[in-house]
Order: sequence, then C-alpha cells, then structure tokens
Amino acid sequence: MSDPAIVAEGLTKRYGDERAVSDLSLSIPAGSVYGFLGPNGAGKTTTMRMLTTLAEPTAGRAEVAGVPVTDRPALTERVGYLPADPPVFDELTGWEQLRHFARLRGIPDEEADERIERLLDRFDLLGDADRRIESYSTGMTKKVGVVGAILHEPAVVLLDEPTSGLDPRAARTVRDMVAELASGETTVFLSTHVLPVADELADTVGVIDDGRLVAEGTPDELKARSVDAVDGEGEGDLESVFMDVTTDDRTPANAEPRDESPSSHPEKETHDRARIDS
Amino acid sequence: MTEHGSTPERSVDSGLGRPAVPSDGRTRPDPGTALELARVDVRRGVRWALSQDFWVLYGLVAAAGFAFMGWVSFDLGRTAGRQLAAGETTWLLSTGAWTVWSVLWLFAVGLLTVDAVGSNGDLDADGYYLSVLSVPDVVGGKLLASAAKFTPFLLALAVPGHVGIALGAGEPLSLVGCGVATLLTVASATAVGYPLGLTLKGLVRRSATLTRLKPLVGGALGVTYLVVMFSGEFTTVVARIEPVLGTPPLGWLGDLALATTTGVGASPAGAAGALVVGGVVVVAGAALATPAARYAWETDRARPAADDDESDATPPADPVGRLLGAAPVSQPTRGIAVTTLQRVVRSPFQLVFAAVPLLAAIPMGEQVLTTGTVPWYAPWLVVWYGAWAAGAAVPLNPLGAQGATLPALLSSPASGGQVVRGHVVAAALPVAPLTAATAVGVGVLGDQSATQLAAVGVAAVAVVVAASVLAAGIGTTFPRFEALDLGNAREAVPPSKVAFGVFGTALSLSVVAVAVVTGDLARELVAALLTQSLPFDPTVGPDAVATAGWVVLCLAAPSVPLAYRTAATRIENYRS
Repeated sequence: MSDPAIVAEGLTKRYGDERAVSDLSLSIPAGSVYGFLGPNGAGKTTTMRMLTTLAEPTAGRAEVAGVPVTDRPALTERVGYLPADPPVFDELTGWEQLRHFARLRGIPDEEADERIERLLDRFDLLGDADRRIESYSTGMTKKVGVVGAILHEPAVVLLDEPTSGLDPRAARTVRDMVAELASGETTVFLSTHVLPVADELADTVGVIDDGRLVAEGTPDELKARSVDAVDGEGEGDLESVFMDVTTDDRTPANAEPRDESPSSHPEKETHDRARIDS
Repeated sequence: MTEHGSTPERSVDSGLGRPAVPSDGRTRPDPGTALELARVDVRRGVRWALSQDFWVLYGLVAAAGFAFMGWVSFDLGRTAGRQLAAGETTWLLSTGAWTVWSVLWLFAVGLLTVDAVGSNGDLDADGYYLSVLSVPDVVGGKLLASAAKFTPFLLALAVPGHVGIALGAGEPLSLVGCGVATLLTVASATAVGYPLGLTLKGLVRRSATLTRLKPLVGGALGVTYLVVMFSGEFTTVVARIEPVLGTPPLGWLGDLALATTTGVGASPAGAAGALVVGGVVVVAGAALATPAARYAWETDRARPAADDDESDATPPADPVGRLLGAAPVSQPTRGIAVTTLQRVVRSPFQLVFAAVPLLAAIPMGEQVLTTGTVPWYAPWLVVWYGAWAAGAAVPLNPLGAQGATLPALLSSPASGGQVVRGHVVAAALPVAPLTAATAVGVGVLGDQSATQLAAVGVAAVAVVVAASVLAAGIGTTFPRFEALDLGNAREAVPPSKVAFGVFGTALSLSVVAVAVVTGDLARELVAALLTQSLPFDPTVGPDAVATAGWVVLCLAAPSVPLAYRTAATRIENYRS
C-alpha cells in the first residue's frame, strides 16, 4: 500500500484560549477523495490552512505528500490550494490571473498558456478570459480559483468550498474535475457544505465539529450508522449523520426538550468519534 | 414595483408607520419619509467615517483645517466689526461679505454636484428602496441628507465670521442674518447641485464613451482643484469674477446675511429678494430632482464595446512581461513584477498614498515659474520624492497588498527573495528612469555643473532602488491587512502608519545625507538650520554635518541588504 498522501497526528490550533482545532488525527490514502464536513466555525478552514503551511499548528504534526507542514518550500511544490475566498485580483483579466499563478510556479508562459486555454475551455470560461475579474459573477470568479489550484498538476489538492456560488452546470464540471483528478492519482481534500457532493465524490468522509473530528468513514458506513438507519426508519443519509454527530448552535436554555421516548437512541447523546477502520 | 405616471390604482405601504403612499404620479416627497431616509443616510455616513482609522485621521486633519479657517473668519469679522463700530469703512462689510457669500454658494453647488455624480448620488440597496417607496420620497431623503452633511461645513466658516462681527461691533443680531443665510445657501445649493449632478450621472451612464472617460475627467478635475487651492490661485480666480459675484440674485445672499447688522448698508430689498428667489429655487430644484433622479437611476448602463465581443480570448499581449522575459529574472519575480504593475495602472487609487507629498511641491513649482529661478536643492527634492513614491506606492506593504491572493502566493514555490525582487522591479522599472531624468532636467534648469548633474542622476537610480528594498523590509515588518473603504465598492490596502513613518524618516535622513556629502551648499544650509534649531545653542559646522552625513550613509548602506533579508525571510515564514 502506498504511503498516505495526508497524515495528521494530534493536530491542534489554539488562538489564545480558544481551540479552533483540537487533537485532529487522520490518514488519507493517495489518489483518494476526502470529504471534510462540518458546521460553520467548526475548524475546517483552519485545518486546511495548517495542512498548507499557512497557519502554524500549536501542537501535533502533519505531512502532506510526504513533506512535513513545517517545510513550506518543499510542500508548496506538491500542493494546490483553493481558499473559500477565491484568490484573485479584481484588476486582472481571468487569463492574466492564471498566468500570474503559473509564473509563481515557474511554469514557462507558452506551456502555461496551453494549460490555461484547455482548462478555461473545460470550465466554459474561455470567452470571458479577457474580461477583468471585477466584472465576473461569483461563480466565474470561483472557477478561476479552481483552475488556479490545479493548473500546475499538483499531487495533492485542497479545495475549500469549491462548488459554493456555482450554478448546477458549473458545479457538475467541478465535480467531474474532482473525480478525474482522483482517478489520475491526485489526492483531493475537499471541504463542503453540500452533502450530496461529499456523498457522490468522497471515498472517505470526516465530520469536524467544534474543532474535533467526530465521525469518519466511507459515506455508506456513516449512513448505516445514522440514527434513522439504526432505528429502521429508512435509509440513512449524510444529512442525518451530520445532524447526529454535530452540536446544535442554540444555547442549552433554548434547546428543545430531549426526546425521552423509547425510540430515542443513546448514540444521539454522544459525540465520540465513530471511526471505521478501512 | 410602482407604476409611473398613472392614476394610482394601488398603493404601497411605506412600512414607516405612515399611511400608504400613492404610486408615482406625484413629484413632491412625503416629508416624514424623506426625513427618515435622511436620518439613516447621515447615520450610516458618520459610522462609515468613524469605522476606519484613516478616515478618522482625515476627519481630524479636516477639522483642524476648518478650525484654522474658522479662526481666520472670526478674526476678520472681529476686526471689521471694530472698524464698523469706529465708523470706518471696511472691505469685508462694504463688498467683501457679498463676495464671500456668493463664493460659498458656488462652492456648495460645485461640491453637491460632485456628490450627486459620485457614489453618494447612488442608492444602496436600490432594489429594496425603489420597490417600497416612491422616487420623490427617496430623492427627498437624499436631498435632506446631503443638505444635513454640508450644513456643518458652511456653519464652520460663516458663523465664526459673524460672531466676530457681533463681538467687534456689539451687534449680536448679526448672527440671525447669518443663520438664515446659511440655511438658505445650503438648501438652494442642494436644490441646484443635486439635480444637476444626477442629470450628469444619467448622461454618463447612457454613454459608453463618457463612462470610460469618467475616471480620467474626475482625476483631471481633482488635480486642477488641488493645484488651484495649493498654489494660491484661488484668490486670483475670485478677484477676476468678483464683479459678477456681487450682482443679483447671487449678491442678495450678502444682503440677507448682513440684514440684521446695522450700519453696513445691506439692502432690505436684496434680503427679501434672496428669500423669495431662494425659496423658488428650493421648490423648483426639489421638483426637478425627481425626474433627474429617474434619469440617473432608471437606466441600463452603457457597456464598453469590448463586452460585445463573443470570440474566445487569446493570451494577453503583456509587453512588460516580454521585456522582463529578456532580462535575467526568474519566472516568479517576473510574475510578481508584471502583476503588480498591472494592478497599479488599472487601480491607481493606491497611488494616492504616494502622491500626498506632491501637494507641497505645488507652491515650489509656482515659485519656480514666477521667479524663473530653480533652487539648488530642487533636484534632490525630486530624488527624495522619486524614492518615496517608489517605496510607498508598491513595496511598502507586500504582504497586505496581496489581499485575497496571499494564500495563493504563500502556498506557491516562489521564494521570499523572488517576491521581494518582483516588488522592487515593479517599483524601480518605471520610477528610477523617470526620477533620474526629472532630477537631471531640473538640475539643468538650475544651471548645475556636470558633476552635480551626474551625481544626482546616479543617486536617483541608486536611491530609488535602495528605497524600494528598504520599503519592502519595513513593510513586511509592519504589515497592514485591513482594507480601506474608498466608497463606490472600491477598496485599497494602504501601508501601515508605522511603516509610513519609519520609511519616511529613514528615506529623508538618507537623502539629506547624500546631499550634504556631495554638495557644499547643502552642508552649509543644514549646518545653519541645526545651529538655529538645536537646544543649548550649539555651533554646528559644515564639516560636522558632512561627517554626520557619512555616518548616516554608513548606517544606511547595510540597512538595504538587511531590509532585503528581513523581507525575504518574513515572506517565506509568514503564517497567521
């Protein structure tokens, strides 16, 4: 079995007294798609920033593509990263922005332009590539960001909400692209709120809540362990899993009374990580 | 959506606790609705101004300026009042006040027109307001809000003068006329300026050519305004049009302002005329504001012709990129340099921070033009400014200026050194030759020797490059990431105040050091200045100044490579 593409052991990030990520451990095989789910503020982006060397872990260690996250120069050769906020300059055209990304990676202009043209065409953006990004819609801007993350054909790609703001056709293009990357041995670490995306694409799904990994497994395994499935009330889905393992944002005083009926399941009250060994 | 010009068959509840307003057959705003809209608009404006340290600082500087002008106004008024009480004739109370009030009105009209043409003449959340309220109500709110925002400025200039008159002449009732004239000036200027501005806005929006030219025209007008104000030509312009300013109906404002000051010969008929004409102007202007607003707001904006091109894009031309491709620079350095220059050219607002010292050059430029003499220090000032502009415009905040692309930069293999070199190339490539050419040209005009010209030319290039590196080191040590809201959905990330201060000080000391080391006159001047200004009455000789200059240069020289190492290391290791 090949070495995992992403390994984290006890990864922790504290901001003052606040723990954004707490004791996170995971191991992602090369060439797979890892779907990273969690409520807003759970620690998804912080985790990704640690894995891409943009944030320094308070504790723990991690390696991406065999390179420790403390070794930025070596790691940046191997990863592509799309932040939730697309990394673009409004003053540039789409093509100029992508050429900028290519130059940062040392790709010669002729080779870069070939790749840019191919990818822009793939994302149906070629006709708008000579317009300034300030005139782009949210979806178009996101597409530029996605192309920028994969332009240099990295071994590991980390995508933070890649389909948010995209229309169904563009979202399908991104999903197809993710599947194609994975089939070509690229490892994809994908954070999303769109559960069907994770359900369709991810080989493994991890759910983070309040900085802790609270559930992990293949989509089918998680769905089988959801409360609805266990209760025999139908097939489980990722939404049920998500609801089961993550906390409500409401304060305890405002929370609805707990269901004390015989059908309530004790697993509802626990947030232990339901790790399924592969 | 409300219907236009039809008998109201359905009404829209304004949601403000008032009876449902009719749809748009009328032109008069509902006063209560207009007042509520104005209240919210003014509150938002105040919160915006207080929300960012740059605007707070700007407000404090502006307040200091108005306080100074208010003091001048008070002093003039008090002197005139005393002269009036002594039975003497004063310029202010014989013709000056009429001129001043006319100028204030014209100024207010100009500023309000610009306000309406700019972003303040737009509606935030227009989809909401125009589907809930009628256009006259919304326009009424806009007019009231603008009048409210400009009234304090006018009061700050006019009231101190009349307080001075009241105190000097013992005429407290003078303030009554001042108050009425201020309100009428603001109301009538708003009623004229806003419809005019909205009409201009509508014209620009309907024309692709005017839309493209708008930033250029706006910039030219702004520069002209600053040159006129800072060169002192404003009084010349006023003196030329003074005969017109005193004639009715504009001149009646002076009669109204001084109507309650006895002994100055203010015409009661003129005061009454001001009230009547002013009232008519206010009503007519308010009525015209509604169609003007519709003309501006209810239009599809003209798109530039390039948007009609449906063909696939091709790789951009990128002449600077090709030029640098022929030079021995790495791809990442080339990428940073090209992108930085493209951004500066296409979004020149960040150059505002580098352009501020130019205001001080306007009086010097005027002096050169009028006397025909170029001061000996002028070339060095050009070198100083070129170095300042190169550093402040581009490399003084290399991390913060990346904005949303910072993660992409940091997660790329580009080394810190490549990023720093990219910023230095972007700054020095256009600025170094321009600074050298300008400094040498100014030196030629000043009849400087060939040696001096060579020194200033070489120094210009060296100092610009060195300043760019220094700025990068200072900027990465004191970065700023918060964007400055410039209004109209524009943002810029300026360098931090600490970076500005440290860079300006270091640069000034270095340029002065170069000047005293290379020029006898500079040594003597600095020696004389230090002797005069230092405490304990020391005598500072030119030789001591030259020695100090060499010391500064010896300290400055290693600071440049140190700044480079600092910047490169901080960029490579930056983590949040």
